[in-house]
Amino acid sequence: VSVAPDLETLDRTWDRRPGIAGWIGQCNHKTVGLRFIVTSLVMFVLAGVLALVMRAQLTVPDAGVVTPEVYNQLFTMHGTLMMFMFVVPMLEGLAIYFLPLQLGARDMPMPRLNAFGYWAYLGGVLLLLSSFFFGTVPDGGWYAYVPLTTTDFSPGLNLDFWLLGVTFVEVSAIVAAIEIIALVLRSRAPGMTIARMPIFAWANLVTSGMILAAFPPLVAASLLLEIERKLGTAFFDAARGGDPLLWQHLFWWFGHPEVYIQLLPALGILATVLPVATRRPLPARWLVVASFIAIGIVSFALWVHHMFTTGIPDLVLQFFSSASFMITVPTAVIVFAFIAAIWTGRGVRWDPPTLFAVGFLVVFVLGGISGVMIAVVGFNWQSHDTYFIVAHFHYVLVGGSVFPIFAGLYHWFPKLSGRHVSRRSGQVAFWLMFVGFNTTFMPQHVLGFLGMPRRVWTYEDGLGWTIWNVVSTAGSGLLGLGVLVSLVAFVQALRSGPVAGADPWGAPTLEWSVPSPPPNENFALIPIVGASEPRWSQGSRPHPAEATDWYTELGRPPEGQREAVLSTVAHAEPQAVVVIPGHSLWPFWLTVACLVVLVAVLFDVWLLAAIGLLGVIGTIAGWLWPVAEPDLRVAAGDRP
Amino acid sequence: MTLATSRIARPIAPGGTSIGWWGAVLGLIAVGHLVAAAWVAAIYLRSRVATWPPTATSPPDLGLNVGAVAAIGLAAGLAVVAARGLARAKPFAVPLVALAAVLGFVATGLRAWGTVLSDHPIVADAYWSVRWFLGALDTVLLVTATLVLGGVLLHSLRKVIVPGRSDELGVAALWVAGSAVFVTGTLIVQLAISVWWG
Repeated sequence: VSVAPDLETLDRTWDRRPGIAGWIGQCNHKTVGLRFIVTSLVMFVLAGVLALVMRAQLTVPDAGVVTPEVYNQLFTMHGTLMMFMFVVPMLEGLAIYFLPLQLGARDMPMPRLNAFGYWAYLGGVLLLLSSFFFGTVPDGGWYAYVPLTTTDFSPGLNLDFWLLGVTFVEVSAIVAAIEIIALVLRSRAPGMTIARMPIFAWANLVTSGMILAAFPPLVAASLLLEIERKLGTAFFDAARGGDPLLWQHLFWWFGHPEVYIQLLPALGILATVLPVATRRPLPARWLVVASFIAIGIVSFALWVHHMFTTGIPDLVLQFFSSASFMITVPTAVIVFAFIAAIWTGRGVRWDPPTLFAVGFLVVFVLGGISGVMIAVVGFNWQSHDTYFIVAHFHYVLVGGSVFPIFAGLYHWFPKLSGRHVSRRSGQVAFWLMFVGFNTTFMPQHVLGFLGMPRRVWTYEDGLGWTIWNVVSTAGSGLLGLGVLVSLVAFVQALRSGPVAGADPWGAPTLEWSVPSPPPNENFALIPIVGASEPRWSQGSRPHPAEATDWYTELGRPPEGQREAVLSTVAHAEPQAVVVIPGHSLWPFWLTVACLVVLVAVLFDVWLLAAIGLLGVIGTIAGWLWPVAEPDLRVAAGDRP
Repeated sequence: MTLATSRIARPIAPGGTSIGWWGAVLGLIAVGHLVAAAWVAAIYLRSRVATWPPTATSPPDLGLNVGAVAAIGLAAGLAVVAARGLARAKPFAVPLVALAAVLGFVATGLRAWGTVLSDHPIVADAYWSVRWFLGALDTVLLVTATLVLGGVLLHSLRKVIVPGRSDELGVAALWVAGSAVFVTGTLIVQLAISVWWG
């Protein structure tokens, strides 16, 4: 029996439908992942521009670039866009695009849910950004502390935009996490046992589990605050038996794991990039995976270290201070593994991905050191709400997420586009970003020691802060220029970059075994995996039972029937062939219905909210409406 | 989650669970954390005040709450039995689903009657706010469970849920059982902070 796949039918079957409806209804993981990546990059640029305006305002004393009210809106939107609309969606986009390719799968296991994840994200973004047009830009800070954000002190709609927009984006992240866990556990290629799984998949598996535990409490907190603002309940009002600190507990229950939710997939990217750059497997692979899991657990025992100055009992302070020290151990294991990879590498390639990986090591370790400093309760009390904290978390977040994201973008760009990015441009961009970042944020440590509080609109002359602020602003310009060079390099590469082959890096993982960009169906014949670096050791090989009907049939589907393989959790034994949907407008309409509800709640149009709710129920019913016989082989009489 | 993907076109090896089942389990884990956050909020607020309920307020009538828990628990049990029966093409499966859907509706009514549909002074004190919020959360969970059962009943009557090849009913039973666990947990939390710790 021939196993030669019918490539033309496969290509048509996994292609998107024509027209606008086809574009909207596309569910394929590559389209959804790319949409996440592009949208989050736009959010990154927007948040960066807001930051540059803030730096312009702070360059010299008593500057008047923006008013205090606008400044409040700038730092709120900068933090919100970076934390909620850029880093997590970007990392999810990279996972959604590349994980199925790394795992030897044809698509995510629930493609329509995957598409809904993107539309929900876009809906949340649009809802939040629409506040600009209504002149009600959120201004309560990215963590929206009460009582500042209750109607007593924020009577406008500003915070309502924030709460509803962010909540919708959180729902998107939860949906993506469900999808990624199901993908990693059930859709791996035959032979890719859990021990052979790529380390990027491990990082995303742990992260997705953390999202399922950490994001719902923020949704609950946002619900409580929105209800308090709309109905006047008393959850956060001390005068009526409530407690403002409840918000902080619920927020940081989400907020601290969020830092590691942003870090772990980024570490997974670096663990993918470094073996390619150093031409050797990652040292201490299992210790790194164990460290991912340890970080995932311990990160939930840290949230109170954001609240050391709120009158917490001493014993609790000691516990959370100790836990904050403890998490440095698994983090250090990973950092040392990365250093060991470079140290023992065989002819390290100093391409842009490698440079950004080394940039991570320098910047993130410096951020970790200042993190250990503020884990000390006494030091924390002194530096709380100063620019030292601003410097610390930018070192951790930019070092821990932004540099690895750029490493990943440069690494995977040839696969994603079929084109090479200019190496020279990437190197220039890296050095501009690296020097610019350190010039921006290193002086802010000093500003913190000099007593400059965060979130101040301006300051008086003669405090000794001016020179450090001038340097910091100059650095931010360099940093922005570096990002711009990268973006221009990406666009140039898309338009006229040299054509990249299937595997320009000589990489070990499966995404490099298919052409660049990947074909619609990813794999015409499902790879069979025998090692954790399948393209370096024995590689992917034909199935030993290649004449079996199911394996042959996968390469020769009925026109329009998207078939994929489900495998067992631990050993990745093939278990079933399933038919998965490839086109659906339901995710889009569900998002529209949700947006109708949210907008109606925002403007207190309760009848419209009720209509929107009926729309939500209707679209879910339509989405889940089962078809009598999904298998076209049965309909065609090929199978009983 | 999409139930259509839970349909296995061709088994290769025996056993295993569908993607729909995985989607439901992971969804329940997420919802569980949301509900748990509400429990933590209630317990935390109780721990911050000396008197609970506030002076001159009678504790909640937990009878309706207990009735709702009993009804949804029974509905979940019937749904599980029906799912197993449907897998073996037993004739009692569909009537059991209908009964479970009716019980879900009853549970929703009982829970909403004591909270969402009552005129509690939710702005007067955090105590009332918490009581109302927990009731509203339960009501949403119960409405969802009832709609799920109603949907499965509809498609069972349309005969598109095929015994042995599709597990919509199994996934629905799992979802209803999860909802029953959450509503029971909320009852325990309310008992703890209102009666035992009140």
